Amino acid sequence: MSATILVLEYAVIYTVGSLLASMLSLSKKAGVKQSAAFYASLAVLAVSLAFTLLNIAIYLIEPKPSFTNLFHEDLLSYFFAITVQLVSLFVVLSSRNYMWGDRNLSVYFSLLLFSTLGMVLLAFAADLLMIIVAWELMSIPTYVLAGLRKDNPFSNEASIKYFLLGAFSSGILLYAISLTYGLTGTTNLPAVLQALQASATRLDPLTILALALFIAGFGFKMSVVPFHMWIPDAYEGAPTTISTFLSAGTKKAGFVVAIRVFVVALPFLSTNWTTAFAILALATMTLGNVAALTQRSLTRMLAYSSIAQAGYILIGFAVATEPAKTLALIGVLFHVFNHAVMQSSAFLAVAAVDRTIGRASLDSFASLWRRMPITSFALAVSLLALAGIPPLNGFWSKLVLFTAAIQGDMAWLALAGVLNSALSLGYYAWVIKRMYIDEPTGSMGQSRIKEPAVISAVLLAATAIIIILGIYPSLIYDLAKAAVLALG
Amino acid sequence: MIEALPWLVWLLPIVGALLTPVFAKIGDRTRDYLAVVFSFASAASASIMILTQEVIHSTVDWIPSIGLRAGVLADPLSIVMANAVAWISFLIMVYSLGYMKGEPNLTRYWFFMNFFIGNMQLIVLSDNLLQLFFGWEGVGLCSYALIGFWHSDEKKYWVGTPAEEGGRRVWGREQAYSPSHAGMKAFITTRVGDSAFLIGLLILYTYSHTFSFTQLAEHTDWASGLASAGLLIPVTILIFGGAVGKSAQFPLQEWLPDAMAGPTSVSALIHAATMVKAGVFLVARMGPIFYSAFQAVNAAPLFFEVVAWIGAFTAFLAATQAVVGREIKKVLAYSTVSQIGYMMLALGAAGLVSESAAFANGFTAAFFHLMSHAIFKASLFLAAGALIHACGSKYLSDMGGLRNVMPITFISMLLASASLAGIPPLSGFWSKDAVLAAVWEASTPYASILFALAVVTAMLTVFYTFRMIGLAFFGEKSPYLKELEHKHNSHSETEHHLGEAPKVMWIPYTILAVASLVIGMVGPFVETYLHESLEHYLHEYGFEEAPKGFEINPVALGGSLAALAVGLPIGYYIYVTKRADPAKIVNSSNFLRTLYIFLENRWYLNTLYYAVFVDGLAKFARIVWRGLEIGVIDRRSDAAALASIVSSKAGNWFDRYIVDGFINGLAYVSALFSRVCRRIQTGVTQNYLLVFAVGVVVVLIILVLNPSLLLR
Amino acid sequence: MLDVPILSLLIFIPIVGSVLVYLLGRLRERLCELASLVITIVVFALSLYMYGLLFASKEGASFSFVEGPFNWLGGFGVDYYLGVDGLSASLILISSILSVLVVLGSWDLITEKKPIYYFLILLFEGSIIGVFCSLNLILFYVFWEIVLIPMFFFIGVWGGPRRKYAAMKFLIFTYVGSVVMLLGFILIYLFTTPNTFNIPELVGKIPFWVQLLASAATFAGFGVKLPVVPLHTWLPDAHVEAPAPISVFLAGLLLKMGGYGFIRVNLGILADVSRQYAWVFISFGILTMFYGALVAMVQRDLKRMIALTSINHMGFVLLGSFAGISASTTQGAVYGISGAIFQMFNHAAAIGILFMLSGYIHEQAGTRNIDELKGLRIGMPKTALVLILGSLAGMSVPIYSSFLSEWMVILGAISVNSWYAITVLIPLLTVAYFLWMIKRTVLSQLPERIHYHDLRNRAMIGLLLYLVPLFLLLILPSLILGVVDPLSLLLYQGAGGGK
Repeated sequence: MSATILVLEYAVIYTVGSLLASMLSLSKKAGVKQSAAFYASLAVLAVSLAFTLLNIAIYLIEPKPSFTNLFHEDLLSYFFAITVQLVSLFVVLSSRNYMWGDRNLSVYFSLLLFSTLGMVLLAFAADLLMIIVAWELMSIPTYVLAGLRKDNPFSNEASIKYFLLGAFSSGILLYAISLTYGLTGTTNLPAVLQALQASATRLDPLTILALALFIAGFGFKMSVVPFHMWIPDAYEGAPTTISTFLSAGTKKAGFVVAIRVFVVALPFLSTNWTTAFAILALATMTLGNVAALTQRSLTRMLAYSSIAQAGYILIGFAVATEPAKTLALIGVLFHVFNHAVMQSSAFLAVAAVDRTIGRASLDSFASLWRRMPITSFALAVSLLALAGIPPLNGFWSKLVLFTAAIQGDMAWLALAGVLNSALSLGYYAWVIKRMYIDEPTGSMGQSRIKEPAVISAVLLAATAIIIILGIYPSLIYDLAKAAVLALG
Repeated sequence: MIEALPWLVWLLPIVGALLTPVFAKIGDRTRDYLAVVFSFASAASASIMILTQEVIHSTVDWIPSIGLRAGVLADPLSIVMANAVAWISFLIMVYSLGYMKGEPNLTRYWFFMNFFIGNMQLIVLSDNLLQLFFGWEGVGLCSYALIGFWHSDEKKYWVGTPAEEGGRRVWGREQAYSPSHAGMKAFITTRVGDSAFLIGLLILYTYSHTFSFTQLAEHTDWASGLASAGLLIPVTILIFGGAVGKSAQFPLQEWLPDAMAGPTSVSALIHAATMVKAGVFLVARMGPIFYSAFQAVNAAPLFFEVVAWIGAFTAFLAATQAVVGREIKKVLAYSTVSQIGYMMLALGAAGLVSESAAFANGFTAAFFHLMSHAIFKASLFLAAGALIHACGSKYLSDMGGLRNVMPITFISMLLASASLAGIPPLSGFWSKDAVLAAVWEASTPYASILFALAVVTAMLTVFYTFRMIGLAFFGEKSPYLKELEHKHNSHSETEHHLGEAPKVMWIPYTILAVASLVIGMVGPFVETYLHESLEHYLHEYGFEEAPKGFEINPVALGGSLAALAVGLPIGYYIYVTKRADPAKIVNSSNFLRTLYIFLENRWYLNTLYYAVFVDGLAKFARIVWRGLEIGVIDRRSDAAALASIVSSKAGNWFDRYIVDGFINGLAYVSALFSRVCRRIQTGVTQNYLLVFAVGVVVVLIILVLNPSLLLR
Repeated sequence: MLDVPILSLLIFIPIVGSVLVYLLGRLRERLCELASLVITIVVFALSLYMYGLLFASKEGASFSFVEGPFNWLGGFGVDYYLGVDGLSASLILISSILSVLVVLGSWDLITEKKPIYYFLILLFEGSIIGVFCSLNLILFYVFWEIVLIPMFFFIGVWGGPRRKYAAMKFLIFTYVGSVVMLLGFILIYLFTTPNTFNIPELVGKIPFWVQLLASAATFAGFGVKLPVVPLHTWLPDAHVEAPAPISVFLAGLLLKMGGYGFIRVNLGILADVSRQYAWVFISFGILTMFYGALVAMVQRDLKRMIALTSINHMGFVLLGSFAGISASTTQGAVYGISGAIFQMFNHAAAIGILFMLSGYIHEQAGTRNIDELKGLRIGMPKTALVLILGSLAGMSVPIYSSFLSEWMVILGAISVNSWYAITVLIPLLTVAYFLWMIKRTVLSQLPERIHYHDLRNRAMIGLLLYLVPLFLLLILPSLILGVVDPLSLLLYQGAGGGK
């Protein structure tokens, strides 16, 4: 079917769903309110996930990419659609435990759904204007979500910062788009490609400027150093589920757009942007890991670690030209998916601890395994996966990325990546040690605590994915490969 | 069947050893007697080998990958040696029945005694160097265990004179050693020699690709290979190093005197009759092979020069120390070292001949002396054991006037000593004479010097022998003994009753003493027989045969008689008739006193070794430990401390887990980094925006400059 | 050769069994001890069967029981590919033997958190067997890393007072080493045609410069594990803190991973560099041997002394393998390489008994300080006897096969250069400090106040079992060398030797 119709269907599902959720919030009884909103959004996500899978099945049977001047339906879009929707499914589910009892939950859920819709649209967007629209659709709800807890000053401050910087980056993005339009007279990406190829303006200083602004704009969401400043504060201030959503969800949207714009639309500038991405990748992963080493609060540590992970993904961009192009992009997609799963698992585990014990500071994790075995097991697995210990999924995607780096003769980048993951083991393993080896500190009890049921279920699911993909990585690897090859 | 004999000879005792613990379960007497039985069985099968009158060589597959076969070789050399070892050790086992009666932990004793015999026979009978080395290490192990048998280190078992008993400290070091220490000293010192041996035989192997004696002898082309690599001399010397260690030759002689800390039966078995002879046997095994090797590349046989000189010097060195020995066993120990020096000298002389026919002379001499020495020295040790047993003291000064008390012991000891002193017609006379003859006939410019050394040594030998006899048996009873007897008379139930040793003890050493007399009576025939059989054996190694009847070399005869003429009267005058007080003589002149002290302190060699090797090595190890391990780690910890100060906010876990050096550099850096990050991460939004803007500019610059070429 | 996937069984029986054991342990702790014993014995029987078939078939050089290559990560050269030759088979055999003994020993020495403990034990066994028989570099790396996890928890949870420090140090050191090694593998993959991670297909295909870089990278991985001085500093801490059975795994198996890597990868597929730059590795080997011996000499802690002894023993492996590959004669090569493999086998058993015993001594005497242990001969005669027997194995006197292997290694070294004969001094040093230790602990007076408990008979038997292979192999070394020698020959010729 045509891409536009497809996207419209998505839009309908989500809009109806979220409107339903917010309308239900008019009901008087608080209990009804929140559970109604919860189940509504759950239903929406389930439906649209099923829908997506169905479409993938259809697509795989007879793969015929369909373009309109706004949208672009191919395996890449589906890949990202699946990823982000999976994440928001996790988030919504865990909210059942984590946010339960908060005020205006219905708003919370409907905003989540809108933002998810924005991400899905981004996955399909093939026009700069469409991109900016979807981009805002994705971002604006998250500004609110980050500051949802009005009474909590941290939360407010975080959301303010996040909002200001977000607005700033959107402005930069708009400026970049308008430059491109001025240069090519079009905002449709394929058209931009042809226009720039035809004209001699490709090396116009303005093109370079546009490029720089694009990198900065997307870099903001992708949490690329030095556009990452907001991340630790936002993640710490926001409700942990929202931090999960930000780091595992919206961040990924940045990458898909980056692929569309840089790799597909601006390939002939690759010598420029690969170099930039190489340097940024180095800076991002190194700074992320080194900063994470010394954090006392686990949320901040995870925030920095997710910055570092973005650095690994950037390695893929740095070599996303021949000869390593295919492998690099496979690596990017593969790690995007894995990171989504690992990071949500880790964050949600922290959420569980935060919910039951009240603090997410490192002390509250001392000998956690006695009190919350499931949570600590899931957290340990996800951290090992983030560190890239085989046979967990994180290892495979890193392997692909590093191989790509060497193949695209940027061996130094691979070396940096390897040393970084060794460094990262420093703090990951340290958390594990805290949970399994250290004695409990202070008043912390020994007795087992009742773990939040839904979150535990989500965690187990995520852990299962991590392990299964570790034992049989081809499941996602092949899909990513197909997606990349479809790009041509 | 005959094939099996040599195997039996060395396997039987080992089996016996392994069964000892089992027998011990049955009962102590069973254990003791069965142990003796096993050694007898081995001795018996050894004797059957003589009767079979043929060379037995049987092998089995061992390490196929290296084409190495285990095997036994029973040729005249090994058969004679095997018999000597077997029978002497059998007698000593019998003796032990009495001597060790009532000791605790005898299971260990019998185990190691039999295990030792087995390994010794393995050395003697093995047909290749590697297998020989196994036995070689085995006997070392046993001697370690047996010397340290009284490992509880009660003072009475110490060897040497402790300081509180008026012993002399040398360079602040006490000259008395506990059994366990002595055992360790013995094992490690010999192990030094063993390492040299191992190096030597491995290098030899890499050139010859065989360990088998027969193959080494058959085609000596490996010699040329070694010689062209300039390794021929070094390798031979290295292999000789093994012999030096085991036979306690200079410079590795120091362990043997202290090995006397073990039970006397052990000293007799290991440090007189058998193990110390292993070195001689090794040289005897390799001597012909090396000789023909040197012939093959017609190089100067420097190897034999070295052997001869070391032998002669050791003989002299040890003899001088024996002269001043205070403990009877130590005197015997020194004399053992010195006598073995004779054998080495003879072997060296054997190789220093122009035509290979004459090789047999020195060879025979050495072997003859080995046999006779084994017999009379074993007898002497056992007798000495009886003395110590009776008097309950190891010091000669505590004995005296015992000839009436212990007549049998006196007679047999007199015979054996006479043989040691080389008084005709005892075995010692003939063998020493043969040695001297061989030395005199040696075709080296220094033959005369060596000869002179040998004669002087002979003199000293005579002297200290009679000193020992005199101090022990003649003159007044020592005050110590008088008191002992007094105690005995006053109340009869005292542990030491002064008198003849029990039968089971005196029979063995009397047999040995008589044996040395009998052999002496028929000395010439024995020598001729040995000469023939050995010559025949050498012939198989490609030496010409020149059958020569028995003749006496006048010069040699003169030498040994002169030695007697000088040594005997002095010894007799001072110690037997007690006409003069040795102490007065010594103190009469400064020179003599200094000499006395110098000798008693073993020429200070012992002390020197301790200072250099023991303390030196320990110091070195400690330096490595402190300097590297601790040092490095310390420095690391300092770095870590610095890092943790810098990042004190980062919490105490920081230095706890990044203490290690490799991470520390990183720790330091990351601490700085994170501080910088914190500085930037102020939480003030304007700064964030500023950084953002700067970031854009940076990216722009990167894009414009595009240093991609630097990155690829 | 056989339709049963015997290698996969060897790997996955323990791994699957581990879960079973954990669940049983939740029911009753005794159950998990018994179950894990049963499982390890089954694995042992299986590996013995496998080894027997290999031995009978005289196919030590080529890979037998091959499974795969089955495509694992599509089109990325990552295959599931197993197979054993002489080297792998002997190491798998000793792994299964040690596992049984370790489980036995743990019955006495491990008292808390048993279910998880035995779960990890079996996980460890399975993954280390995986390391020894995987023929795909990435598969190899995967198992290589899995091994770290149980070891980290062993040290960290059941360890001594400074266990946290030791565990972290162990993890960081080994992980850094192995990720660098991974880069080396990736290099190999990218720059050989055809691109593959499969070891058999890589033999002789790798360009020289790649070999050079890869050797440097793998040296980090294997060198840390072996360990090579100066990458060894994690080992004494890990050993001192780890519980005794785990030290047996550490020294007996984990260090072997290093030696195995050197032989399988450096000698096998990086042969040219190994042959040309052998002197570098050899000098590291000799340095390691001397350093280990010297530092061991001054230790007060019995266990630390043993740990450093095992450093010194593993030096022989490095020396032997690289002396062999660079030897001038075929014979020299066979001694060197076979000697190295044989040494690994013997060292596993010899060091095993020593560590386990140190554990018992610590349990019964309450201390491992050599100066405080006195009069064991009277106080605990059985312990003293085992200690002496074990020390004899440690100083490799010729009543154990360990003497043979060290001797073969030295022989190989000498055939390269006569000066390497100085390594004969190593056994001398070893003897010196072992005897000194025995003199101070066993042959000393028993102070009145101290009262020791002696070994239980079961423990005694469990310990003496370690010595069985050592005795057996002294008399019949061909049991191991029979499968190893053809391999050594192959490696040597693969490196262009013997022409």
